[in-house]
Amino acid sequence: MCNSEMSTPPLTFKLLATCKVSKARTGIMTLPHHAVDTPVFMPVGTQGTLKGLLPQQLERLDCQIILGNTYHLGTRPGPELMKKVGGLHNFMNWKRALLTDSGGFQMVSLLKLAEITEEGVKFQSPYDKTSEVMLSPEHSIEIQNAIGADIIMQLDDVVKTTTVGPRVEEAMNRTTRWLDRCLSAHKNPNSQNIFPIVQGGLDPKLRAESARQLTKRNVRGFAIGGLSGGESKDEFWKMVHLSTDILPEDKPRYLMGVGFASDLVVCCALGVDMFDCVFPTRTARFGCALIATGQLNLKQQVYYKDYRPIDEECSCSTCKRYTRAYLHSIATHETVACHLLTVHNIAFQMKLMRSVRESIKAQKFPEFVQNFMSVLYPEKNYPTWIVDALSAVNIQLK
Amino acid sequence: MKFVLCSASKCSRRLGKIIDIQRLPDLAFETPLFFLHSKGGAIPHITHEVLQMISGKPISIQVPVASTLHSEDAVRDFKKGLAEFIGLAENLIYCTVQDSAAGVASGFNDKSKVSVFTRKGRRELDAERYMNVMEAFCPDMYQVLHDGDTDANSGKKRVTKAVDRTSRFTEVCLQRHKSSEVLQNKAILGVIEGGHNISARETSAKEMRDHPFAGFVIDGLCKQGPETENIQTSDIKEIIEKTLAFLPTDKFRIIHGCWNPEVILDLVDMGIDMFDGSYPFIVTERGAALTFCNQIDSYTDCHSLNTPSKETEEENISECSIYEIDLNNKMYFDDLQPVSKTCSCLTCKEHTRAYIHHLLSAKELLGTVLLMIHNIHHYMEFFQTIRRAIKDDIWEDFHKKFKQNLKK
Ligand SMILES: [Zn+2]
Ligand SMILES: [Zn+2]
Repeated sequence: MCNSEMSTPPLTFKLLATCKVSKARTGIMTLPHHAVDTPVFMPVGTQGTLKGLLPQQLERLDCQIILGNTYHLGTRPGPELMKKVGGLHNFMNWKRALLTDSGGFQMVSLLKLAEITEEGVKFQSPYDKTSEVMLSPEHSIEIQNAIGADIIMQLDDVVKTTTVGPRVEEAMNRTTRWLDRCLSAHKNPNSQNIFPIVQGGLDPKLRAESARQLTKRNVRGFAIGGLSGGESKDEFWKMVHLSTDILPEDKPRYLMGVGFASDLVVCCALGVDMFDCVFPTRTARFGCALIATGQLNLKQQVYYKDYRPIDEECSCSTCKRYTRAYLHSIATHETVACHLLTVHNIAFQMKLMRSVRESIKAQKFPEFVQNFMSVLYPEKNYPTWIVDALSAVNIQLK
Repeated sequence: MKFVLCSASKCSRRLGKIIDIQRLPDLAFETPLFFLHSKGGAIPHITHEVLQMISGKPISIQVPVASTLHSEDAVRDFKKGLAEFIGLAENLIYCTVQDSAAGVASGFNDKSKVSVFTRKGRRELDAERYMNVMEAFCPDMYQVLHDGDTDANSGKKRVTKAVDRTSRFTEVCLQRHKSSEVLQNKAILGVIEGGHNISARETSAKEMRDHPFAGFVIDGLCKQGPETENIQTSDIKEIIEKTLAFLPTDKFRIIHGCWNPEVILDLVDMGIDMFDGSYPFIVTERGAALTFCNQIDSYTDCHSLNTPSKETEEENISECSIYEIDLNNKMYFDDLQPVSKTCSCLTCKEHTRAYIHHLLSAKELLGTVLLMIHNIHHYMEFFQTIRRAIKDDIWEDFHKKFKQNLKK
């Protein structure tokens, strides 16, 4: 990082417009590697690559910030090589912004024997089954410092969303203690931003308490965690709504693990600025393409002679050249099908977020939401949670 | 389609040009040439968008029926032909019966039918059925149906069968070709069979040579597939030279298979004009990058290009082919050099060996994408060098030094 950055903080957030009806807002989050337009969807590139796409393709798709996974990158290629090449940006030759998770969530979900203590997350080494490895807040930050992403996440104490009782409160309080340890272990405060993660399960009191504790720390943005893991949609939106009510206006808010189109639109209305999800890229691998009315499973025989593009209105390189019939003929058989669908699905997510931003700027966000929902639900059989969530921020679905 | 021989030289090596392609009248392809390999109508791992980053110019592509047969009805009803169906309409499309990268499974042909192995299993094609597919696909050039299930070990009986069957198939194919409105202006290629038996080759060549073919495929030398790269020139030289002697010089000659680069040069030297791209594809699939010297200017210090940057004791360098480096090898873990310093492909300009090694060990798709970009680029440059060496009349020197360099 150059010296001039000593004077500018590694994150400045400028709100350009806020919706006069809902809590939606649009702004620019300036990071060391890119000025990111918010609300933004961040595709997930787990192992230092985004599902077979070249960095040039991601730029053409208007990706502004992508995710890397600390657990994966920390084990392979590992922090030593990251330091040697000067971070993940150089390693994968990606010039725009990056965000890394803490690695904790991956461990809890991937490794059965994870045990969480005050020290950190203890797990069995995936390579050497007899030894145990400890991921402490300090260690997580050390790896993330080596990776060098613009935004890094605190290690949080993750409990299943369905957990109830004292364990939820313990996890919430421990998350705050671990944040403090992360902040003091952080070696690159001038070039990387640590985001704390609001926890508290589905308990409104604990979640509010978590948000209040974290907002007292000197940080430049916040994540809302512990959701999108099997809770009901009704509980989900209420927790998001409650969290964005408490989190400060002037800092970006990142809702972790959310990426379905309808969820994105609702949560933008609730005042969220950043999202990530593996879904658009993962579903591409199975031959699914995202469209405004839902998705097409191109494996299905009905597409054998369907000579239309995935979406007539999409301007992505896939829709401009390839038909559903051809995609059907190679889906799940050739890697090219996966690449083509990934390109389209990312283009779909990017276009959706662009429309959200533009409608907020034009003070037409409520109309945008109404229109979006009526296309997705032409019978107007809107799920109750969507009606309720939008109504909570004064957007009524007719 | 027209084939024009440019070199008037008395030597066997040839420089030529394909022009007057009905669907692509403005294009010309210089020979010696190779057809990029495709599977299911796609260049493996390479979308059209990425292909544009490898070559801005239209290219020649081989599309095997074996991997596209499942789309027959969809392409027929589409009515615009295979080239447009697969999203590669700007390029020259050449349909072959078999997939030269996959190889020919032995023992499945009979006197009226040839088997192809599609992803839905074995399918039998008789000549009429095959021509129905060609009418639907409407490629710029295509082979007649043929029985190429022979190699150096095939006995006289088997090679005779291959020749007889192929000539019967040829009759039907030619008949259909001439009477087909959509195919009659496309290029149809004769296929010379006969294994390694000179008299069978003579019979086959003499039967084929007076038909109105655009060119000839010399088939049935081996069962193709990855093993082809281990075949030496000495194993095939005599049979090819004798076969060529029976063929007219003004028609182009194609040999399929993933021959190693040394054999490719020898085949060019014998007067073969066209090849396929199964070699760079097979190299990519095993996680390797081509590094053999493909430039005229630098062939004297080629060896330095092949030398791995860092040698660790536990690695056995001799395991590597002399033509490539194996990016799966742990020695590339922290090697921050490009695959090849002298290569101008996107992979070499923008990425390191360490990154590709990481992608391969993480089984990430981008690893093979980056390798395929480099390997296609490298192989294209190799063919450009071959053409230039003939054009500049330095072929003999180039050919000799290339071989010397391999022995270093
Ligand atoms: Zn599209
Ligand atoms: Zn290269």
